[in-house]
Amino acid sequence: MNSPQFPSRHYAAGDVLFNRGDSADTFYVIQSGEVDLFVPPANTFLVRLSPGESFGEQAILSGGVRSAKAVAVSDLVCTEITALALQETVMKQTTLIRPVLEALLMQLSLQNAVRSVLPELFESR
Amino acid sequence: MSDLYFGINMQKLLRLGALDPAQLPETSAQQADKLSSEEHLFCRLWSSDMMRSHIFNKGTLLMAQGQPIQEAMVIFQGQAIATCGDTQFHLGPGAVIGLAEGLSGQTSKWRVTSDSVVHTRSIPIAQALTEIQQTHPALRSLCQVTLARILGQGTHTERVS
Repeated sequence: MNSPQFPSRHYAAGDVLFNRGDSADTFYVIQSGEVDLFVPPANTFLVRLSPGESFGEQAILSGGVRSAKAVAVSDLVCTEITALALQETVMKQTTLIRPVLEALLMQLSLQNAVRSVLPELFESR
Repeated sequence: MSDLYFGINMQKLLRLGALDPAQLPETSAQQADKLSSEEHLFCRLWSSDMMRSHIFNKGTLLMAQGQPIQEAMVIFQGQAIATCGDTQFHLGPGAVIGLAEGLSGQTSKWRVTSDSVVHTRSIPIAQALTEIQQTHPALRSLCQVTLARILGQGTHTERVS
């Protein structure tokens, strides 16, 4: 994943990678370290992500703003993939894969919203 | 009955003209800061002609809890009620029902019935799986990570590998 188009970046523990409402232009793949995601309206902890996992895909595909906050838990190295390269790949799709991907991202957004106010529905998972 | 509602603000999108297909390309950049990620995604799904439309009368069972999922659906107009145990809440436009569960071979966690006339579009799970398996590796990875995020970190995503 390391290439001139996909540079790596270092963050210190506690660094905020992005806040809800920030303009979204980057998809992150964690190389080392961990990241916590928090969702509105109560800034609820959503998930802790580890090396090999990725985040930030939802906002960059739709070209909008961040719907969550991401914070480095420890010293962190991420591969950063810009929205442009990913969007170009998605927009070229002319089959059902495009609505499938967009609908999956919508379902993730819905689930985050439900989880934020009804966390008990997800406790048994 | 809970008054919790999860859905897109259709009035906002209509006011901005964001659901007018003729305006989508022209206004996309201008609306980048006005629309949330979810609203952008909904507008794109709205303009897609790759899914089949369905209209359901009020009181129709849209998704049975615990049953295998052959078709996922996206609500475009109207409202539905989701039930999980003793908890109920409303789903509106933009709600996606059963897609992640269907793709991973799980059953629906929620029972969903229409609470008004509801317009949905459906995604056949078998066709979606085939297309995911054949698509660009980066998009397939995106599907996998999104599935895992929806269903939980321990989710097996072999069906979309």
